[in-house]
Amino acid sequence: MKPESAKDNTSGGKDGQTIPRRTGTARIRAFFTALLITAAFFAGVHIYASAKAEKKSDAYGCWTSEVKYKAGRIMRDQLDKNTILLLGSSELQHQKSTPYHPGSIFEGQDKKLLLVGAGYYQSLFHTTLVAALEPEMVNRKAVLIVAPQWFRKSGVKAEAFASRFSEENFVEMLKNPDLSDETKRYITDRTKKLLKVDPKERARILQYEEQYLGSGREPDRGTKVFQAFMEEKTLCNVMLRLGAYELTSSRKKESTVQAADNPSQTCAALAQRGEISEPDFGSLRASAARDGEEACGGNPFFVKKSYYDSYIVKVMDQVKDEGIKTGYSVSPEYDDFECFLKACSEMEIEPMVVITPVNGYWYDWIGFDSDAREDYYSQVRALCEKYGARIADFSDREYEEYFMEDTIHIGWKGWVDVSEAVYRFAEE
Amino acid sequence: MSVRQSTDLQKNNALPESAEAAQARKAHERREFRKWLLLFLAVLMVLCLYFILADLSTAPRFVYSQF
Repeated sequence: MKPESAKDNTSGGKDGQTIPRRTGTARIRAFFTALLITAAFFAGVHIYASAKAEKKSDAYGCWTSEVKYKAGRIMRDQLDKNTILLLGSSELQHQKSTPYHPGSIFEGQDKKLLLVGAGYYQSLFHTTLVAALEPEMVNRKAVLIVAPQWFRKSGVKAEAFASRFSEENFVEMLKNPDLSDETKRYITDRTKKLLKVDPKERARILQYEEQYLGSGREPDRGTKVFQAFMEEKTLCNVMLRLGAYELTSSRKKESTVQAADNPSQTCAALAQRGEISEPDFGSLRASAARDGEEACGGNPFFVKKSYYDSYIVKVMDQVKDEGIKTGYSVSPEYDDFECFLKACSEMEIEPMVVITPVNGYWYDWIGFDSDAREDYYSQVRALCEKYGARIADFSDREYEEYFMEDTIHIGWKGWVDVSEAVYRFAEE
Repeated sequence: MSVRQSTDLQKNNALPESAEAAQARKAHERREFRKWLLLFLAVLMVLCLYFILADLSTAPRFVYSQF
C-alpha cells in the first residue's frame, strides 16, 4: 500500500520513500542569496561607473542624450582646456551623421565640442547649465545657437521645461559664487513658475531656494535622501548609457573610414587615420550643396524631399497666408536670453551667439512677413550688443538654397557655415 | 513494521533515512533552491536596473513636436 503523503513537509518519493519538503528554508536562503548577488552586481556597476567618470571620454562631447544634459557634475569632470560648449536645441539632433554637423567637423581636432541640446532646450536651461559648469570651465568659451521658435508668445512651454529640468544643475547654479544673487533669483523665480506643472519638484526647489538664497536652512531629510539616491542613480545611468554609446559609435566610425573615398567623409576619415588638419570648408560647402540638391529633389521650399512629401504637401493649402498666430516679437524668452548673456558676463564666460534664420520661402508662404522676422533678429542682435557678445549672424540666409533642411532647422550648407563660425571662434 | 509506521517514524526523525532518500531529498532541495534563486534574482535585478535606468521624473509627460 502506498504511504500517504504527509501534509506538512514530505512528499512522495521513489519506491515509497518520503522526501521532506523544506521549501520554506530553501526559499529564504534563495532570497538572501539573490539579494547578495544583486548587491554585488550593483557594487560592480558603481565601481565601473565611478572609474569611468574619472576618465575623459572622446565620445562624451558629441553624445546627444537628455540623460547626459541633466548630469552637470559629470559634465564638469569631462571639461578640459580644449572643451568648447555648444548649446542649442533641436537643430543639434539634425544631420548628426553628415560631415557638415559640428560633431563631425571637430572630429579629431585639438579643440573638442561639448554638445548640449534637443527640442525645447532654451535659454533658461542653458543659463542654469553654464552656471553649474562654470567653476570647472578652463576654456571660457560657450556657443549658443538661438532659434526663432524659442521666442513664441508664451516662451518655453512649462511641460517641456519641467521634463527637461535638472535639479542637480539647478543646485550647482545656486552654489556658484561667481553668479550674482540677482541673477540667481531671476532663474529661481522663472523656474518656480514653470515648475507649477510638477509640484513635487517645485517643493524641493523651494527648499533649495531657502537654503541658498534665504535663511540657510537645510532641506528636510526626505529631500536629502532623494538627492543622495539621485546622485548615485545619475552616475550609474549616465555611465552605463555612455558605455553603450561608445560601443555603437566606434562601429560607425569604422564604416566612415571605409567610405573615405567619398570626399564628404574626409574630416572623420582623416581623423581616424590620425591626420589632423583644418577642415576644408570650401570643399565641404560644395559637397553640401550637392547633397542638399539631391536630398531636396527640386521642391519649391528647398526642404528635404521626405519632409516635403510627408508634411508640407499635406498642410500647405491650409496654412497659406494664415500667418503665425504667435509672433516672435514679444516673448518672455527675451528676458531669459538676456539672463543668459548677463550670467556669462558675471561669470566671465565669452559667449558667441549664432542667429539662425527661418526658411524664408515657407514663412512667406504662411504669411509671416519679413518685417516681423527682422524685428526678432534685431532684438536678439541688440541684446548681444548690450552685453558685448560675439554674434554669428545668419539671418540674411533665409532664401539660400540648402541652407535649411526644413522650415526651421539648419541643414547642409547651413551646418557648414555654422560649423566654420564655431571652429574659428574655438581656434582664436 | 508497516510502511506507514516507517514513514511516521521517519517524519519524526525517529528513523534515520536511507542513503537514497537523503540523496533524493538533497537533490530536491537544490532544485527548489535554484528555482527560487532564479526567480528572486530576476525580480531583484529588474528592480535594480529599473531604478538605475528609468526616468523617475515627476514632470508630466511631454510629447515633443516641432512647432
